[in-house]
Amino acid sequence: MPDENQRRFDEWTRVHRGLLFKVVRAYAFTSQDQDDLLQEIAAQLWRSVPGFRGDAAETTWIYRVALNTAISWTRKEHKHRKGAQSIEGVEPILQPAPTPDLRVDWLYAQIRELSEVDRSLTLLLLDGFSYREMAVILGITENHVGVKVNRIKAYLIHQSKRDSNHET
Amino acid sequence: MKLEELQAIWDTQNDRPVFSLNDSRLSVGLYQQRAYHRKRMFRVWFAPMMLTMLVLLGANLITFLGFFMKTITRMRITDPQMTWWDGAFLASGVASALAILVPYFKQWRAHEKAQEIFAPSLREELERGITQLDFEMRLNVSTQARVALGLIAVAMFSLLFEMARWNGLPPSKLLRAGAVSLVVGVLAGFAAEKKVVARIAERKRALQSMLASLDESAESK
Repeated sequence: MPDENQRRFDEWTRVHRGLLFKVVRAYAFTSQDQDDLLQEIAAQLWRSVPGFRGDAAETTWIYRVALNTAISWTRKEHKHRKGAQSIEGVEPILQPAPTPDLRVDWLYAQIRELSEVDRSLTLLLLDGFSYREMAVILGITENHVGVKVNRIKAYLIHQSKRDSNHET
Repeated sequence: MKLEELQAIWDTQNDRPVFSLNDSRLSVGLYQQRAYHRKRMFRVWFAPMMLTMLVLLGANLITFLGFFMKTITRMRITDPQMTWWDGAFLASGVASALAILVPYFKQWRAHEKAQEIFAPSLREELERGITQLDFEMRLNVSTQARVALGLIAVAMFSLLFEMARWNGLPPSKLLRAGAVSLVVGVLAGFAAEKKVVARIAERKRALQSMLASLDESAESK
């Protein structure tokens, strides 16, 4: 069974790596913080492996773990900084893409302006999750999700219009 | 721009992720972080209390055995003799140490077990966080904490009193020294307790406000 858990964890971190990167990028803004958060998420993901029964899709489960961890981590971020050891000269775990996509960067900049819970909803919205799935992942009602998602959609569309007007 | 267009931009990350991962560094980091969290919890809360109680338990037992052996061998006529009261006093010291050690050990084990469990939703994660802070607060200010102080006093006084009796010294001297150190310890404990409670309460308020924001009804929006 431990081998099976190890295999599943390896597979998750390999196949769904992109999902973890999205959460990390949305919640942590410096290289050190991004490394720290990724480690925290990976640790929680490892702990969650024995609890995965296959009732939910793997992506739903991984998103659930990653978002809950990211929100908790944000809460404790100042403590991490206090106790953080200097890692100058140490290669970071996460290395930014060599040729960044400016449109993706713009999206993350908008997400960064949102509250912690709204950031989670935005990630799930952009990845095409249903209201029901979002409600299950965050532990809130579907109605509440609906209200919040409508506000987020309006916000993102408004921001895109505003910025495209500025560009023109 | 429409939402579908934003989603299309978002989906480009599936082919071109925003990061690349250094696997070997991740493995090392994971190991270090796990070790750090587990050790810190044990070091701050449970190790000092359990170690103190183990020392008091051992010292009371050694004193009991030493005094008992001295009584039954009685090498010199002037050797002090253990009475039933001495035995009862030392037994109460041992019992006091055990009465703290056993529950604290059980709590620590339960806490370790609880930490391993993954919270399946944000709400439960927050509630579990608040429960955790309540647990930390209880360790500091609960009846159990105050009873623990009383039991430490019993274990320490029985030890000092009987050590003095065992060595034929006037017990009052050792008791006086013990009383002073105990009072200083208790006062320092209360001073530290206020700070710890204030810090925990601050963390708890942050969790509660986040929980309240989740509880906001859709109608109020």
